[in-house]
Parts: sequence; C-alpha cells; structure tokens
Amino acid sequence: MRCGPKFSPANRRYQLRFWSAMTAYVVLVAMISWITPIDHLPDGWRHAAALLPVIPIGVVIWAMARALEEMEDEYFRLLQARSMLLATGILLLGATAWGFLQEYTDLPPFPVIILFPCWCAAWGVSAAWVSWRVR
Amino acid sequence: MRSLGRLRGLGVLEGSVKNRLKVLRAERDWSQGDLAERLGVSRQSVNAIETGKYDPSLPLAFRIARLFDLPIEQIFSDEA
Repeated sequence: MRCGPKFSPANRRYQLRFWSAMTAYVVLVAMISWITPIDHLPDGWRHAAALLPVIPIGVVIWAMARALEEMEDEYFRLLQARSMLLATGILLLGATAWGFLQEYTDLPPFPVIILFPCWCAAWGVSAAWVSWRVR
Repeated sequence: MRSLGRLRGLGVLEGSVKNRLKVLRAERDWSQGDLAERLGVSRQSVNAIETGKYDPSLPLAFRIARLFDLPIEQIFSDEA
C-alpha cells in the first residue's frame, strides 16, 4: 500500500510496520511448525502457541488502517478505501458462495487459514480495477 | 452496477459540485502539475476535481480558495 510519495515518512512508517510484522509472522509459523513443534504440548499451551502467528497478522491489519489514515493525498485515500471496501465485498460474496456449495454439494471445507491472503489478493484485483476506472 | 450508479448520483462516489478550477488555472497559465504542487496534492487529485469525479474536502477547498484569493462560493457551486 502506498500512502503518499514513495519515500514519505508515512510510507516509510508503513513499510517498517508491515515488514516487521511479516518477518515476525514467518518466524512464528516456522517456530510452531518445524523448530519447536507444538503437537505434544498440553491443550491450553498448544492453543496459545497456535494463535501466536495471529498477532503479527493483527499488526499488519492495524498498519494498513494507520497507512490509510496517514495517507497524505485525500483523493488517493478515497480510492484506496474504495478498493478495500470492494475487496471485502468480493471476499464476503466468495465465502458465502463457498459456504452454500459446501453445504449442498461435495465441496470440501474452506481453509480459513488463507482468508487474509485471499482478501489481499481480492484487494490487488479491486485496486487495479478502481485505478483503471478513474484513469 | 446500478447501485454504484445510484451512489454516484448521491455524490457518494463522484463529485456533485461544479467548480471553476480549470478556468482559474488556465487564467494563470498553470498546468495541473503546477496547481497540484502549490496545493500539496497529486496531479491526479487536481484532474479528478476539475473533471467533477471528486469533490475536495472542506480543508482542501479552503486551500484552493486561499490560493486563488477568492471566496469558496466563487470557485465551487452546487448543481441544483
């Protein structure tokens, strides 16, 4: 997400927050999956450890919200908000469609662990569409 | 996309206010980029305002009015 000129303080802050959180995410996923597998931990500890990667994802979402607030150009802020809203709509519609197909056909359950990456992909598409619309 | 059209009609997605920005800019022989630089916004913002795709916020409208040394109502007017 760009929040103003490439090297603006707001953009630097967003890049720092985003990449710090993503690094923490990768480290935590690697830790609970391969470095210190959590399969044999007692239930409470296992639940807590399994939720650790959710924290950096929360930080990424917070960083996106802050970047939107700190975006210097109000027109770009509107376009960005519009594309995020559209991405959310696409995701909700897709998830609902999957739910009905899962309920009434033999479609397997949706892997909700990829919900956020799906939203990011939908955001990429919607941002391109919104940019194309206002050319 | 009919609902989007309705939102546009309500001024939610696109501008519903007329403005004389293009004329005022031309009188001073400024490009959109020149005006954008003076206002501290992107050239795309100036273009969107001029073409009626976007209504500026009140603070930006005041900045525009100050820059041209005119009252806001001499730059912006509603279509009604």
